[in-house]
Amino acid sequence: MFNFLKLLIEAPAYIAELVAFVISAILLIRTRNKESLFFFILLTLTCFVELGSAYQLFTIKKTNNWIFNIFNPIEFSFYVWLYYKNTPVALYRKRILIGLFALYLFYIIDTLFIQGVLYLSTYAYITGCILLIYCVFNFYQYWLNTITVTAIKVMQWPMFWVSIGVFIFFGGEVFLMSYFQYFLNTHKMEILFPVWSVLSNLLNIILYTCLSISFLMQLKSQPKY
Amino acid sequence: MFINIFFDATEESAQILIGIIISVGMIFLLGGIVFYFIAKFIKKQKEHEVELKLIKQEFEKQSLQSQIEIQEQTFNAISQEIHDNVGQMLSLAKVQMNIAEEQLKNSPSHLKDAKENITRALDDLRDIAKNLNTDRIEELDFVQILQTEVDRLNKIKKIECNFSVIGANRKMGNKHKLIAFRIIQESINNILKHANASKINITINFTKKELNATITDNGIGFNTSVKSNGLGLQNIIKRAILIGGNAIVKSEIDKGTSIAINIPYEQ
Repeated sequence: MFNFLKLLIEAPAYIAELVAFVISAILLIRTRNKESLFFFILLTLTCFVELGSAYQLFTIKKTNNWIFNIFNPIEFSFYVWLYYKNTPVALYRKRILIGLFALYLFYIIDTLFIQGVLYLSTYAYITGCILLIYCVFNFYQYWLNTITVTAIKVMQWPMFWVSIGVFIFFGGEVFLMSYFQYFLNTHKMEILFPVWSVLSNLLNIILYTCLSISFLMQLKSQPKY
Repeated sequence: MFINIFFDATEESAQILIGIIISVGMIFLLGGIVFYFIAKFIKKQKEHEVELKLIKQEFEKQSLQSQIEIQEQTFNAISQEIHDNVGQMLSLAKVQMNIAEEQLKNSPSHLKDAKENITRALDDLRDIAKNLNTDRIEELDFVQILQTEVDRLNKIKKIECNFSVIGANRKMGNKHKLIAFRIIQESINNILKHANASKINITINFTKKELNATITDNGIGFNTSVKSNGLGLQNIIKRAILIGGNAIVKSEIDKGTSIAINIPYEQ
């Protein structure tokens, strides 16, 4: 039952990723701005890592966790940069930057000294997710108290869709990674892996669908990110 | 335990069920947070919109107020100029003509005509000066001011102007009286300039709550759905709104125009 569900949801997750990648390529061709280029690079990397993992291209000692330990900090850096750029308040920007450097440091410590290179650095990953949730809240708080907010049509605002996707994906990942770590520690992962997998793919679908909508909104109106 | 009783499940399936319940709960929680923040954002947007609208309205009100004040100052200056300068010169010209008439034994008829023309011009200018002077408008009641304006129009003999009053004359606040009068003046000017009318009817009705004034003409009319570039009608409506009233313009091509104004008394 869960294997069927897993299969049923894994395919749309990959499709959602590929669709986002294609739209980001179109956006890059049309706008040729820095944000589109970075999104395109990120999605190229994502597709490469995800599909490569699915085809076991990166498997070393029966695991491909090491590639995610490299890719995840890159992904965090991109989103943190996006929020850093879109938050004009100096204090918030400073905090975001300090948070990112602290995250890098924690990733190194976690990967090298706590969980090991061949294991997924879940502690650092959860920290990164929390940092991104903080960025989304900062961003939300800033725009909520800005008078120009009236000029923004929420549903047509690209950053709105990016934030929804980031919040749901990384908020869900905090829970999923804690869940994952708990069941790994209690040796029950095999039982609950299908549930975990279904949820993880569902979160991917939400994130990439939101990113696709955001790119389409950007293509439609072409305001700045 | 609870799940085992109701579903008679193994420990494994119970754990899966708990996992699913927790996961669904997580999705609902995240979704709920997102909806809450979107709702708050939209609410804040609406609040900002209302604030901006109020600021805009206040700005328009202040701007219109200044415009009226400047106009009144200009009118007073013109009125003063007519009285002190043009009026004096015409009076002097009239006196000089009288002297010339006396000195000439057989005064030519042209001289007599010129004297009459000067007397008429002097009277007309005095009437204009009176209706431009704010202090004088404040001294008289609304019916008296309008009557002066109607008399002046009828004296020109270019147009027939009828004036009727319904209800007992009510005292009005100076600001409201002045603006209501200027609105009617503006309406009359519009008729004279654009309507090609031969008749104007002005009716004022002193109701319990407010003053209703109607100005109608039998002119060429216009299509109200077509936006005009002129500011006359817009000014009439804006001024009425400024003092808490309203103005409704109705017109049809070849069927004349009617402007209905409702103004509170504000004593």
